[in-house]
Amino acid sequence: MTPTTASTTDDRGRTSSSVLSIRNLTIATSGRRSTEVVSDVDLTVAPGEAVAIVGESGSGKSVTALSCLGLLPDGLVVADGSIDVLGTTVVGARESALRKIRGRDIAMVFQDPMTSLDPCYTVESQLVESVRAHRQLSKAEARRLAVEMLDMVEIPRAAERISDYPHEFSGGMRQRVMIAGALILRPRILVADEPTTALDVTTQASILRLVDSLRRELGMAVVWISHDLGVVAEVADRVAVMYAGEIVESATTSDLFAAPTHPYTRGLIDSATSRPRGEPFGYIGGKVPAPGEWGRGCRFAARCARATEICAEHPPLFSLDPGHTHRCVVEAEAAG
Amino acid sequence: MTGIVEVQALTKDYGAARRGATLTRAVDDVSFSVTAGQCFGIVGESGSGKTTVAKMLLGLVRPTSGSIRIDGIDRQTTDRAHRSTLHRTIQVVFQDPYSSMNPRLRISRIVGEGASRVHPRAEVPHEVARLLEIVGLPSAYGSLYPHQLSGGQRQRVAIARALSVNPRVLVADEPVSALDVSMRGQVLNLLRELQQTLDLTCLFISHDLHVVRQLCDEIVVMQRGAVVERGDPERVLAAPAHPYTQRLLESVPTMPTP
Repeated sequence: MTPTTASTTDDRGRTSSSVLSIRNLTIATSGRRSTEVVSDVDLTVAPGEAVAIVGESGSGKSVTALSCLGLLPDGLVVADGSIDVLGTTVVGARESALRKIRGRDIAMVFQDPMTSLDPCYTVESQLVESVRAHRQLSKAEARRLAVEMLDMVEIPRAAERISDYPHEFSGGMRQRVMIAGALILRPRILVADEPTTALDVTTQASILRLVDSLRRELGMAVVWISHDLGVVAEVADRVAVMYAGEIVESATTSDLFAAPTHPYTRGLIDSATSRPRGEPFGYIGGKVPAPGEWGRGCRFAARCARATEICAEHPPLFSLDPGHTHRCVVEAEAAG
Repeated sequence: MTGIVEVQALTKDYGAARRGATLTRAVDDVSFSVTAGQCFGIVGESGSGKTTVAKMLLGLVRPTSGSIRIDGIDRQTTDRAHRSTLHRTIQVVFQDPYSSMNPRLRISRIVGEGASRVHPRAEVPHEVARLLEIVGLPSAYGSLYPHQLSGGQRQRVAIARALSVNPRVLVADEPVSALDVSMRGQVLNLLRELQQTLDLTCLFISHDLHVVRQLCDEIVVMQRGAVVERGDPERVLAAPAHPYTQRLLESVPTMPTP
């Protein structure tokens, strides 16, 4: 299957070759006293590209991912900005329009497969149902497609296992079933939200390699959501580092690891770097501020060893190299 | 030389009680010896039996066969005084600091329960303050509840609680796996510092080979209940002899070094 390059036309009539485009996205709690949880996020994903959003708990990475499918939980709303998925405007779209793109254009795999698979139905009935919701196929045809997909995610004896219930699969196999379900309509974008966090290292490695090879084979783009820089380094072409609801650094994966610029990125890398025996472990002191406690200035300043009085103002995005941006005033001034 | 923890031919079967039930061997003929003052690592994936070994060391699970001696005392002893001594000798820090604390108790109670077993009641508040201080928390935190702390702080409370009975052996079962990456280093540094200053013996159970290499003096690698490799972590990880250790090492996603 060779995908055609997506060409979407934006509101100014220009064509851009992106499958997903997030512009100035701000997400906040609904209600009168609204609190921002994601601020001014910009992210573009090209066809077939693997982009990672990295951040710790509370960084807003999962909420950003959910908003791309119009799946924000109750109590959260898109306060500003736009999201474009293959020409469909997601923000403000009707539920019926969102249903059309979910699964067909953009699909998602979650951390815990047990929460997205219904324990009362066999894998077959769940996969067949999602195919027939989008395509006019007979049950037999849909089943054939489902078996083919389970085969593709390397589930042994797929034709037999399809009639099993979710609990009859191991954790890693269940995650493969989830991936099969997400990919069965051959979406152009897969959002993978920490799909391997709950798994063992050897299973994690096989799932990462599987999704990456399917990405190449099917020509789909993958948005990885992760807190693990090691995972990101393995599978992503490009990385956006999120901290307290905003992107603080964005670069190609090789640039990010070769020249990490924002002190938070450096701290994260330092925290995950292995050292010889007896040496102290790296860490970032303090804790991530909760939404509503971000303040006006740089959101990382309270934990940053390099912070000065200029950090009291909110830093814009600085461009370091083409494709490498960051949000640190101190670094920008040092660079001239 | 005998170690402070001596494990001999330890085996645990599950499902043997019912007739006709299939037997699952969770731990299979495991032996090791831990020298006092050492940090000893048990490495493996879920299902490898590492946590079952820890539970047997703590007396939470009864072995099917084999023996455990802690500071010379048989773990299976029925002698009251000996059991009480064991309680104080070996303590544990679990992976999830939230589910291992009563959410309705203040930190001072959580830490003070153990302290009241080894100190007169009047001295307990002072002892709680001292324990919080050695894990790097302000003594004012004693009046807070677990949910008011961050994950890293809760794990510090769990360590303070474990230390409250002056143990000689501390079992740490994946103590940082539930924490954010940026927080882990602080807890690991604290564990090592306490191990050195208090002359603690530490049994560190983990699936993270990099952490184990940096922290432990000696490791065993477990797969399907059995020890497949053991020795100096630098050597084992530099040149793994067993294919499972190799596979484990290859699976760990690593960052490029600039």
